[in-house]
Amino acid sequence: MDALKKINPYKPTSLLDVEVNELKEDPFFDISRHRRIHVFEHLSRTEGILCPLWTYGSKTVTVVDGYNRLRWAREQGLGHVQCLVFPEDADKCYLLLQKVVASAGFRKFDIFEKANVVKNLSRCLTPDEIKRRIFPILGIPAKPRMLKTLLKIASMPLDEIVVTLEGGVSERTLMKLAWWNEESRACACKLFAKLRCSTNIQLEITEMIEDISRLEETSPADVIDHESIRQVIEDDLLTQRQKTEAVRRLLKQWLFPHLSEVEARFLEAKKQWKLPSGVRIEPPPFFEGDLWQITLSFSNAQELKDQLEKLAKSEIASQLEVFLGKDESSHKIT
Amino acid sequence: MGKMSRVIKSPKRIFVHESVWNSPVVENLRKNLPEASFHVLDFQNRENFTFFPYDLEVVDFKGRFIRSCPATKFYHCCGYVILHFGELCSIGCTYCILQAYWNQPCLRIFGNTDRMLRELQDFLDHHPDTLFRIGTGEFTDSLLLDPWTGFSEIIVPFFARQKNAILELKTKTSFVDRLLELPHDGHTIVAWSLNAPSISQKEEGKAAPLEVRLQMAKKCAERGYFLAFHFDPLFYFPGWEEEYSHTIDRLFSYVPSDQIVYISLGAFRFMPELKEIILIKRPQWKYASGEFVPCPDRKRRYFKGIRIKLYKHIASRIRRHAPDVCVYLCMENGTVWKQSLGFHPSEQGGLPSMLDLAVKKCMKVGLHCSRSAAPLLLQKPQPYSSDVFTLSKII
Repeated sequence: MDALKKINPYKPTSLLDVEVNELKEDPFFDISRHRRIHVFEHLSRTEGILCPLWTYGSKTVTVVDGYNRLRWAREQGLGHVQCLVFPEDADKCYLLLQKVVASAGFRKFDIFEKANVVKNLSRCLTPDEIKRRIFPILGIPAKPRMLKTLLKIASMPLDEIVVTLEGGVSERTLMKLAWWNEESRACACKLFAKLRCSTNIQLEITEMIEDISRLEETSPADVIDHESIRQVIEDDLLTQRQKTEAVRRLLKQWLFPHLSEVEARFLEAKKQWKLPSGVRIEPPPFFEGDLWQITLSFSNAQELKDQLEKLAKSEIASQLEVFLGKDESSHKIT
Repeated sequence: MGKMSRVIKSPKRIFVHESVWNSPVVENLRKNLPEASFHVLDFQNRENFTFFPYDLEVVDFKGRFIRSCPATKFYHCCGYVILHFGELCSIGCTYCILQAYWNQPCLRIFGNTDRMLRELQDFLDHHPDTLFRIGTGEFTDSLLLDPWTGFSEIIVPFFARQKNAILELKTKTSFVDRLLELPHDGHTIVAWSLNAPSISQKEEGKAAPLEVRLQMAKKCAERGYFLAFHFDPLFYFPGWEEEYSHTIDRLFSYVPSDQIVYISLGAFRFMPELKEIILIKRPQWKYASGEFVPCPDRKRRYFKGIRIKLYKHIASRIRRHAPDVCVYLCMENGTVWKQSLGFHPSEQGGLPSMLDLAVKKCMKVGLHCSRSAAPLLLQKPQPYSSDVFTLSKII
């Protein structure tokens, strides 16, 4: 792509009022269709179109930048819009890249816009050029199979994109879901729309679902559609936070049966131990490693003395030894 | 998997740094690979060059040849010293950690073996009363390229002359022919990585079949070599008990237990990045899905109870054949040691000392050495030496 190697090879030739009906659309440049509603709301709240649209050509005037403004103008019945016109022979990839660079300066692209840019520029740039030159502009990490993931996202139908956005599915989660089949993806979007959880929790849930489906040789949709999970997400008495915790717990019990059993046994044992108030005992995370922790809470030196005395008199050490002895002998893993 | 697909192919194009063009390793390559093409590689323009998996780079290595095992303070490390002689492996095991470690397209070995040997000799001479267990199998397979490079002809006789060091060649290949006639003087351990038959068959790419590895071990034992075996990575899957038992039974049907210096066990563990890399290649690969918990060294391991179950079973099966052989756990914590093998490494002076003792007892090397190499080289402190449940004593 020679044009992309030159500095500013195609300058806009004029700023014109162009009849709305004369403006032609080209999906190559229309990378933000799914943002239509948000843009419309914004335009309606402000003065309308402040920045001119970018177009190219004279006989056929094709819109480069400003598709949502154009749609809004049509909806409002505007006759003319102001357009910055690039020459007829301007290279399409160059114009798309200019549009991306100009927009990147004042707003972040969402994952679908990034995916559309990558997909469209893939027509004129090699995969290596895309990774080397376009990824940094779009803030995309150069991870393995990232290009393929973005191409998959770019090929998602518009209604699915809207559902995904409305469901609050994070970009990082979507990059994983992009590799699922359409049915599983739809189930995941529905699930996350009900849970409204953070990116990290979405990723944790996604990974557990993937692992379970791999082990059970079933689809992620079947895992999400499991009766126990369905009951949780359809329970109107639970808050989003409670639903999230319940789904995480169910998936964890499914994927980690032995860990869950030891955790439950520890909680049960702890109840019997009658620890002095202000004393907490915690196993290593996931029971991994050798280090257990005891926390003493106190507000002055006397309280600390009292706490230590109570702890010394308590049977916690021997009780813990019994628990660990059980732990040792009860790895009945089949 | 067909027989042909398991054949390890010789390098077809060899790119050599000008300064090592006349090194013994490159001379051997020219002699043993008459059909391969040899090229001087301009390393300044290396980035613009496209390498293929069956290419081989021979470089003038500028870094340290002697390295410590990348231990962590959370798990007990064996204190193995790495002789860094090459990078990457073309055997293609599905689970291979090197996929996540090295971002390079082809195998690379170091041609400046003269500097390597000088550095090694200086190092060993500088610590005459320290016993070093040195291996080449950390960043590549020790014998993968040996039929063509003849590196063993350089390194095995070198170690035969050392009073305070032994060499461990760790492999999954059958490439032992060169070793058989070498003067090793009982200072070299030839070690094989072993696994369950189904894992070896399906997940270990072009590695020699299990039976062939054991036949080669027998050959080496007959030539007086000491042996070691590494059951690493161990997988937990339906039928694992029978499969690992079968491998252990086959092992002891081939080799005499008194020539085995040690056997290590290590359950499958991985950095999260490795899981991603494997799943890109094999999306339905089940072995990284299951009860893997995040660990303090950022890796994921099977939940402790599963690891203990694996280790207990395998160790007891080994002890059924060889009650006195040294069995140890690779990168495990004290609790798991105690619950699987019945003792904490600190009860035997720590894992490095335990392995030093196995070397002295079995190989009779370094009997005069009073020090272990571990404190010299391990970059990170080792886990608490006492067992976790000294709590009752504290309170």
